[in-house]
Amino acid sequence: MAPELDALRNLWQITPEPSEQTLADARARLFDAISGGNGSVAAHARLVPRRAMLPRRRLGFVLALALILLVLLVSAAVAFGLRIVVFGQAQKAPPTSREFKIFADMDVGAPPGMESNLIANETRKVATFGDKTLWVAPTRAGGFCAILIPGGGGCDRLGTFPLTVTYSGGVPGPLSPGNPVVGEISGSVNARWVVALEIRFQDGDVIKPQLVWVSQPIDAGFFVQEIPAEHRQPGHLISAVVALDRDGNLIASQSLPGNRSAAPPPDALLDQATQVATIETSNGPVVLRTAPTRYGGRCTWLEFKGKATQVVPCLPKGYEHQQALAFAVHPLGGHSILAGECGYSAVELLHRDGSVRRVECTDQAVFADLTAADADGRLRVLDRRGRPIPRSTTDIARAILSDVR
Amino acid sequence: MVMGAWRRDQGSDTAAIARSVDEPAAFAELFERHFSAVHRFLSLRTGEQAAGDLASETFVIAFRRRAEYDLTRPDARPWLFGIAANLAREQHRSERRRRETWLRLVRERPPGSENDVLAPEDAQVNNEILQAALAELSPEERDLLLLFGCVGLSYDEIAEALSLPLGTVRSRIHRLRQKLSERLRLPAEKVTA
Repeated sequence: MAPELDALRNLWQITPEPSEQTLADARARLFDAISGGNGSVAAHARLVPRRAMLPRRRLGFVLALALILLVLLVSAAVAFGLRIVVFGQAQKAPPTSREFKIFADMDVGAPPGMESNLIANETRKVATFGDKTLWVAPTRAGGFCAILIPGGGGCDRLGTFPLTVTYSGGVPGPLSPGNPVVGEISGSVNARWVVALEIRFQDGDVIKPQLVWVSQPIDAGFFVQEIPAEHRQPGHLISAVVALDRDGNLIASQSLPGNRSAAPPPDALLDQATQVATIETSNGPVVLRTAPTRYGGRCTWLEFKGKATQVVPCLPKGYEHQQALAFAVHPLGGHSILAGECGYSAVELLHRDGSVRRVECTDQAVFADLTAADADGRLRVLDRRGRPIPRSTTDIARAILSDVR
Repeated sequence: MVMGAWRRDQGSDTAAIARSVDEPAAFAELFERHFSAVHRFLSLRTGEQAAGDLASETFVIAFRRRAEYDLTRPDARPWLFGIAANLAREQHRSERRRRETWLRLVRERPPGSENDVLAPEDAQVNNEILQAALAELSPEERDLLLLFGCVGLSYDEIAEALSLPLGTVRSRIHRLRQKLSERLRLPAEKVTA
């Protein structure tokens, strides 16, 4: 190999990737161009072809053309049974309103790196579902926060979650494995990948909720679906909520909280799954596997005695650094297995006697057989330079799951 | 298998650009696919501080010009890197400052290292000298070397990106490689003089 080419390639390899902030800023700028330059609406609304570059010489002409275009788009959308909201034209929340204040206070007290960075000045009312109103605001990183009033809400600050679902109980008391009756489902799908949503039931029934598509910079579809009385009975309950692409491929799937399946995560592209590592136990090996998803994320799960246990929810790109989400301790085969996503370099297990055990992350996953001293101690995450990440220290006991097999 | 996957990616650039004419949001695919490489190229070309803005501007310009893209070109990289290189050249003044900074930094290296002949495994020193050598080149020469040796574009693609005749690209890169190779063999003191 020529030394000068070696040197150039080495230089290229050590040139850092852009930071998340750089990426977010650049995405926001491009989305501004996409939204502002051509009056883009959600991908699902683009049923009518239009010119890419509108002339700018005559502002009035352009505005008139944009208006006609909008009418055509909305007409076409209505004809196809779609509900579309052009975000920039939706009603803004006044700065004195309750909704504005909820969004403006969203980041107060958020841990570093977990802020939504939403733009409260852009809080807009995008839809009503019966007596409920949906308010949405974009984030600086290309995502959004949404809140249903009355009801609840949340944020996808990076705009990379394909599907978010909130369940409301159909009978008094919190929703749980012992109380799995759902009265209403609400949430959102990401228009980058998803065109349809299905609520699937144990008896084979399917409901396809009406989606309200909101244009850039939100670029998502929102839904609120009341669950009929016949699907609040045992044997007829919800089995999964599934987001599909235009070819009918499953993009993402969610089950009720606490519902456990012995199959690998449905989001995982199993033909691309890899075996990361194995821990031998007296009852057989525990295998850690990962697989990519169609939305640029990754699923991680354990296999033990022919059954799969999901380690953490399948995470979209950018969210694997949230350590609170990303690992758990699984009691399997008489062992306590620490497993999860690890976007960092290593974790340290801090024992009560002051000793420390370091576990390196492999293939962006952490996987270790914990000793009694480990399980009784604490865990902290180390960055790429081996320095502890602030506020990452957690009691291991809090991460131990109850699903003993 | 790898080649097949590579070809599919190449094809999808054109598909994404074509689709983005009617569906502007489709252009985001191009961004996700190439932003990192464009940013790294600009980081080497102009410094990390300016790279973010320039890389971002590259994609905004590309988005605005997407209707002019030649859809017979399956790979959008020459087009994107051409825009990036043009933007980098407009940063000439800051680039000159950076070059001076680099030269000063290399001169200020600890005395013990000044007379060392470069050891192949000494990547840190090698990189300093390489960057100093790159900083002494003209912007066009630097584009040629970075696009060829770092980004991995072919002669044809570089000719397209920089709007230069293919023969010129070949001969200049050949000459630049020789020049760089000689620099990397020199003692550090001579390189930085």
